Amino acid sequence: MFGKLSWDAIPLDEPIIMYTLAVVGLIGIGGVGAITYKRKWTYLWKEWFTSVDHKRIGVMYIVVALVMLLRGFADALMMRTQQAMASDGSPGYLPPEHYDQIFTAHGVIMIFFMAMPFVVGLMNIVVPLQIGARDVAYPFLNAVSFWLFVSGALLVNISLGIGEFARTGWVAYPPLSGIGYSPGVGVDYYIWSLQISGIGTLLTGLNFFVTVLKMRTTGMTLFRMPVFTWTVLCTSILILAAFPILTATLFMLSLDRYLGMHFFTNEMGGNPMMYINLIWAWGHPEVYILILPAFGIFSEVASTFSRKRLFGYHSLVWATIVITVLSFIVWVHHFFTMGAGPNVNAFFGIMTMIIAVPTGVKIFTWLFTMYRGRVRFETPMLWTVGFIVTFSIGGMTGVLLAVPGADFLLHNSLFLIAHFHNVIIGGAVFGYLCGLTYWFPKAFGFKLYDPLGRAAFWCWLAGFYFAFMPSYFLGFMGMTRRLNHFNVPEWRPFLLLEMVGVLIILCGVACQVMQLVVSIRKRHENRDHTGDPWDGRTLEWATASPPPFYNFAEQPVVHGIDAYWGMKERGVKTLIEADFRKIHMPCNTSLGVVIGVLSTVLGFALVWHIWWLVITSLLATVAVLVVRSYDQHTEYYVTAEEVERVETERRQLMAEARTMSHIVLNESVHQQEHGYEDAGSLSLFGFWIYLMTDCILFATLFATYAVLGQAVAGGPSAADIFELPYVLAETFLLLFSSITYGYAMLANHRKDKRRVLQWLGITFVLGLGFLAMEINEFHHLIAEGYGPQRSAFLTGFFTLVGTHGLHVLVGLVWMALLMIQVQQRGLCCVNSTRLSCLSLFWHFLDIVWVCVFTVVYLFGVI
Amino acid sequence: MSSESQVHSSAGASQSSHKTYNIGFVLAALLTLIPFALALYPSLSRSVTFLLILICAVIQILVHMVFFLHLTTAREQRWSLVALVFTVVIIVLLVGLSLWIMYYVHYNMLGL
Amino acid sequence: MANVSTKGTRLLGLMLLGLVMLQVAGCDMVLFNPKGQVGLEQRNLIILATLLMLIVVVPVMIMALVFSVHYRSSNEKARYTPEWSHSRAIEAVVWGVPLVIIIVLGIVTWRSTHALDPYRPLESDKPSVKVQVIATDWKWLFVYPELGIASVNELAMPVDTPVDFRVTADGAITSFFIPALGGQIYAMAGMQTQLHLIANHPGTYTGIAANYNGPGFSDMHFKALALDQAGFDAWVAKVRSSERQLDPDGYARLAKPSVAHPVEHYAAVTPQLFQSLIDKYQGVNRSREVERRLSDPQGETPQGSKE
Repeated sequence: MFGKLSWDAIPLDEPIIMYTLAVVGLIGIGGVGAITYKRKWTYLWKEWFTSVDHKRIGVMYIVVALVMLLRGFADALMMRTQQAMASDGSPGYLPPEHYDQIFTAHGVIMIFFMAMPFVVGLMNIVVPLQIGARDVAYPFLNAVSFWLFVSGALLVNISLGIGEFARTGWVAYPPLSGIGYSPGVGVDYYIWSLQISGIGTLLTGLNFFVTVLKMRTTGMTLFRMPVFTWTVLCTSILILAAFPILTATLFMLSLDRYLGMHFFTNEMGGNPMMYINLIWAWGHPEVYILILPAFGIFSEVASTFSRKRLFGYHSLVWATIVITVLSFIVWVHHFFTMGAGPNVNAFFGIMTMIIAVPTGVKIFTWLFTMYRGRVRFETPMLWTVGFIVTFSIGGMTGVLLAVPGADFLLHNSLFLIAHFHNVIIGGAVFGYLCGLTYWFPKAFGFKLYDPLGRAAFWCWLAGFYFAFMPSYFLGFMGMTRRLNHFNVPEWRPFLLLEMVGVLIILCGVACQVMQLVVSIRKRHENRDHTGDPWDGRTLEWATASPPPFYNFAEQPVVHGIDAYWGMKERGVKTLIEADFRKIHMPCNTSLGVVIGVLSTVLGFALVWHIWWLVITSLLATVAVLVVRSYDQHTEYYVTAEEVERVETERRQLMAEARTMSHIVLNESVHQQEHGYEDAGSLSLFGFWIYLMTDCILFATLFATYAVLGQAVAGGPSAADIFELPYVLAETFLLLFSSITYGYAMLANHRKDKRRVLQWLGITFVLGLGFLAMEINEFHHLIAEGYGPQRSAFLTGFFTLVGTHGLHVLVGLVWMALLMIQVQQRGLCCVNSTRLSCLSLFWHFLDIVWVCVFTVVYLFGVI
Repeated sequence: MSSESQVHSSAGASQSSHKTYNIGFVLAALLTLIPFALALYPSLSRSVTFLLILICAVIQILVHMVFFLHLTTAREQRWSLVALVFTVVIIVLLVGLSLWIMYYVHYNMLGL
Repeated sequence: MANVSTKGTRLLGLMLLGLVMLQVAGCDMVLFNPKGQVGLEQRNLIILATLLMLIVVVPVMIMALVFSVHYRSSNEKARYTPEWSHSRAIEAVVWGVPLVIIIVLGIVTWRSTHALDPYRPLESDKPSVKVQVIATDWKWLFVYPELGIASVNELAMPVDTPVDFRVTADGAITSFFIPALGGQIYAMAGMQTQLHLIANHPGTYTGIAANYNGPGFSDMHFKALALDQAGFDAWVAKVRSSERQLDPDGYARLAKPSVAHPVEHYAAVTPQLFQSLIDKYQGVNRSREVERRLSDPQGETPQGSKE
């Protein structure tokens, strides 16, 4: 009834965990109690949880990221303490099974549930404002992305109290992470929390890619965009291209674990090395996803706080693009020691070094922005200079590790640990904290209390050096990573020094918490009345702090880089709004929360093998999406009077504060509204981009099939089991269905509803026929004992063809739904767009099938 | 990317008609029958067969893209085309480099 | 300005601390005190790469310090050019110099990666000693196929003699590493990797597992003894005098998961033990060669590290 779940899952025998759970429970109850006492639930629900406003969603992302920072940091504290204590042969205070979960959880949480949401949160708050837009391209998807991320974070945290977490390291190499060596639920929690939040991340990448490309305000060409927006665009491209690889790889691992397949097992033809290859093909772009936006933040801050134009804007942009492309050709440097041979290793080593060039260029760019500027050392600028110094060291050690000969000595050592913490903390985290301080006034309307911000910075800086510089030396002293006890007295002083460092960082974190409390208390003194507390240069500073929910009463026209600075220079100071017009905005929705809840239930059910719950939550999720598709009230108009009221109120507040208004004059009053008229083409474009990511997912499966294709493990090979005439018939069924769908589209263009339904019906039947033939083929093979568990070749075959078949199934369900909706509501704009999207999907499936029959069936047989 | 079925067609008049789909179908059918025939009745050397089948597949994918997906170099579709080209590049890199790596890794593990 | 001078002092302080630590730790940094040719060359690579990178990093540090101090907003005397944002000369330098450094480093990388390929046999006038390494949970089994002996968690080698390691695992992936002698190679089940090392100084060196493979990972270390020829012969004799035999039953007992396994010596080893462990796994690297060998029970395959 409850799968593998039982009362044993609660670790009652581990006092540390039970104390932690008790504390967390108390804090949780306290929080819930406080909200209830102040009767804020309605407010929270209406204004935050159901919001589709990018600013609100961004803040929520950052809140969760900061909470997870505390958890990840607690893990770090525990690890450092254990290593300091256990360096003389004593076992320390953490049992090994516990320690091994902690270092895995530390990595997973910090990367996926602290750094990613932090950067996504900042992206959310800032980018639409910087490009003069009202919101992102797909606000509903934005909300869904957030709640999917929360779902993943919840699962990781639930694993602390119910069951266990993975004990494999944060990338979970098989065979250790396979069902044989990790029979518990830990790796399953890992897989599902990452898969669920990974979908959220992918949707975010999609959202921001389309937003930056399609929703920029008039006059903002690509090369007039702020650098932060550029880095977000490139980050989105990285997300879109890399995350499908992660999804496919974890999917294959889960098939190994749940269905006994042989992708990455030691037996029956599996190849663990392929997992290592794929996971790092994702993993390297992932770290660039984390660092590029930080680079963007520092670019903005360096320029603003030096009161000077950013040096080498074009160089910076091209450097970012080069890094984006190159990040896909370097991944082997994570496993030089696996034995790929000198040609492969040298190639990837050299490629890795080449990436250092544009990165170095950026550092010089920021320095030369400071050069001959007037540098104000407020907290954000402190973070920037701290970053420049620290990240340079990290980059240097990175290039060092890129030399395979050197890496042979340093792989998996504490030197490696020092390097990546150097670049992630000194680069990414410093960047996010800098961005947090910089954009906090924009989001909340008051500045953070500066003295505590400075104190926090110095603690973080000093703490970081004490905590990680010794690790470089420990690496040189032969210490490897993930040890939970050892007996090497020479290491002890360094480890104690590192513990001190972590405690100093703890002080920094404490300062930041205090800063938040104090800032909120003093918010009236530090209120930002102008919307431009730092004398900024980019468009977000042209709005109020916080901006009205629609961002801009009228979208500004841009004439150059540093759009807002240009406006200030033209002496634009007061607002002249003769014409307020109504504004088209998206409605709030509770479906984001619902999907989040259902995903959490689904993930939990999958972990514990509660199959009836898996099916129910899946069906419920589909039902939610169907309900959404019927929702006709997803957008509304803000009346012109409402806009006028908000703007007038702001003008009055500013007059009362007697500040110079730095509000933007909308120099060209009558402009075209961007966004919602083009909803159809926006949906189509977004869907096309999603299909591109699906291509990469399939490519991963194809690559794995190619690698495993010969591993028949004594079983049948391709030539033994494939019947080409049968496949030819299947192929023609699918090809016919593509044509009939095309005829349906032509009928749609003619607005001929009857014909549309006819042709759709025929397509549906043909597609169903294809699927039936495929199921029949699978059934026969399994009946003969040639199921996917028989060999790695069969695993690859069933998965590749089966995944295509699953896509066909989804397409058919969608088609059926659309036929019903067309019947009910005719060929209205929304249905038309959906028909177009499905047509893209259907033709795409036919293209994938061409690849399948070529690579699998034909190449297999000849 | 289809430009033929939107209410607000930014691409102007529809370029497609029944003829487009029919021609596409005939081409795709041919490009399916040929490789299957080559595989079912092998008469050429293995590597030549392999190459021919591959070429047919590539051309058929292009046929699908042009005749069914109506992919053109029109300005309104520019970003879609860029995205497609970029995706192809990534796929070539991912699959190509992975195969190269795994080939050598495999070779090095044989104990020769 | 208070901030900047504190920052400057702090940076200097940190650097001094670093130097002090370096002195203190100097003699104990095993990677910088290699005892074998391979380790030596790898260490030299680290030093070279660091020096090359410092060409860029040192100016960055200096500029960060100097610009922060000189161009702080309270310094009215500094030149202020708010619109200046472009300079061909600077661009040429910041793109060009790192590019040149990377080209140099790239050439070094290409050459050194080939020279230091772990699969590449070391040149020596002495015949190499062949050792088969089996990583099993959580201990290291060393088999000397030419000598017919085996040892757990203790590896001995004669000084100034190249050692040919063939490495596999009977469990999860881990990494075989002797820091004092040179770089590491992954040990993976069903597969055979190679490593070539040489010890040029006698001594006892620590060997470790450098990739996490489960609960016993922290105790999975061994001793590598570099002995002169007489010492090595004595060690071999000592092992031969052991009563234990590594027959299939013996191996089955040994292979059971154990943590912090004591040193054990085996006077005799089943022939083809190493190969049989590889063949046991039907990983994708199970070649047709292996299939053929397994299906040919009469076939005699030669001894030695090729198997």
